[in-house]
Amino acid sequence: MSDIQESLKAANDFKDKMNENVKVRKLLKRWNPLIHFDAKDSDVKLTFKMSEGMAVSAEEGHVGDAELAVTFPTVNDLVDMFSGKLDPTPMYLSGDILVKGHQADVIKLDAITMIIWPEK
Amino acid sequence: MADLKRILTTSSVAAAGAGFAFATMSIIADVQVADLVLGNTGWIAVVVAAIFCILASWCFGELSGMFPTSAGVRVYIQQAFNEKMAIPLSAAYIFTVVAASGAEAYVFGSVFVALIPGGPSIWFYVILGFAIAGALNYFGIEIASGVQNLMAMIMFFFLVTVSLVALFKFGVRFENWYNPIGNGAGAEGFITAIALSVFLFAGFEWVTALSEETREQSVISRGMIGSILILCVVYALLNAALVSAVPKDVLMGRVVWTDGLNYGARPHVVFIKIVFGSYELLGLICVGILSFLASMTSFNAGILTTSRFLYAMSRDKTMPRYLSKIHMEYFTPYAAIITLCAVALVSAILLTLLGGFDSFTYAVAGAEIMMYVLAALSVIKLRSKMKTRERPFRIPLYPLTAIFTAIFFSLLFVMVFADQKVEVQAGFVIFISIIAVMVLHTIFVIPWLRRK
Repeated sequence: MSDIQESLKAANDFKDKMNENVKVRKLLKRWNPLIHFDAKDSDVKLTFKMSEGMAVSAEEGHVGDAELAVTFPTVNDLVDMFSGKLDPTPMYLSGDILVKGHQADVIKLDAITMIIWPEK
Repeated sequence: MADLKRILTTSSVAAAGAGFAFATMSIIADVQVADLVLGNTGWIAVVVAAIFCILASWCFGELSGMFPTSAGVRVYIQQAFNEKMAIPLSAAYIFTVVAASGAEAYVFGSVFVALIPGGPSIWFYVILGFAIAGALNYFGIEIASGVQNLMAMIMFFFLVTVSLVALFKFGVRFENWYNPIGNGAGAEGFITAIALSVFLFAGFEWVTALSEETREQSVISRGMIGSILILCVVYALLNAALVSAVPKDVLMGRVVWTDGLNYGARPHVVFIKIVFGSYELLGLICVGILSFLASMTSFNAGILTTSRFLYAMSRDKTMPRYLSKIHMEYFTPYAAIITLCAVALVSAILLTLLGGFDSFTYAVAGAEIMMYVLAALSVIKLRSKMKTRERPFRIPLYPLTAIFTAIFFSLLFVMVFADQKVEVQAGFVIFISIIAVMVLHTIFVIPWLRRK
């Protein structure tokens, strides 16, 4: 499977899992961002669209002007994050995952990670 | 880089940085600088400090380009050295700034007590200040950056205009306005004045926390330089104007003014009274608005930045877990915001009861200078440790500039605390005590937090 196919599959699985999570839906009910994802070591680009607390779509390429742009060091990290294997928080805090966007949106993204990857 | 809907421009970063740094306490520090040197030469110390702060800003520019995260200084030091060094020093830096908010609240209250005789006591204004800033942060009420920048620019324009009017009206008062080390005075007072002048720019580097809101890293680097230049013009002119209009002893509170009041904690009030002359009432209204805006922007920016920092430390399990709580309606780190407001309020209460607000200018100057040294050392270390890491901004004339920045600010660190005056030594004790507490926190509390 190519990088983009693998990333897209992981992103869509993540989208479905997120939509099943009542807590995330409730938390983000008034949040309607476009989020761009990419990786430094690959041409993989994804756009994640959310509306009223639901992840609406995960599609290939960067579509529209995003509220948030998230850059992973490697495409493997991106796939691992969407697969739920990688908690992105430590990599974000150490500056390895780059997040661009307004602070209010960044903190919402962090709130999602707190629910999906709760502290052990 | 993806296309983002909202991005910050260089001018908004410059205005934000200048707004972060400007507080009512800055005017007191400007007076302290003037008092350390001969005649009317304090402005030279301000200009020299600005030049060196630009060198420090280059270091922050390179580091924030490498690690564009809101956790800022902690990440830089951790990546360059190690966590055991990064946590106590960056947390001490943050808590010194928070404790200094107590001093700012005290000064803010003192101004209004002087402006409204027979009005509420100082406690009312101290609590009001934190209540407003705390509520803005708690509810995530965002003052549009355009409005915030406009307010900052109005404040600066007012101060520059009043300073020019004062200089025009009173001249420079002293014959010596150009030689800070003349008449056998030596360089010690001048170097201490430069060191203390760093306080005036304290906070320009907080804009590195806005790295996530820019498209190009150069916006942050240029914005920091813009902030320093704006502040340099404002403080240098104000320094010269204060001394030209009001005797230094009155500005420092050693002597009461002819109205029988001591203006030590509010030198700008007597300055404006004198400059406005028969339009005193108008001047005092302007001072009220100026002090309110300066303190509010300073509180707001201080709580906003430090609460995000504390939140990030909690997420990293280096601060208690409750500090990472996010308000589910407003998406703000409310536990960190309330905790910081409480710390600042305790600091304000202690200062109001015990006095010594002026010690905080030295404590903050020390913490800032320490951070500039660490930033320069981090740049040097990371150039060899992470040779291939992407650097959107590189310090010009490396390694000379980085080495010079580290050496120069190390010297200033010694000089800022060299004076034997009580307020200087108290500032040193405050600074060292906060570091000691954070070192103990790192040794004993963090391992426990991580085991939990």
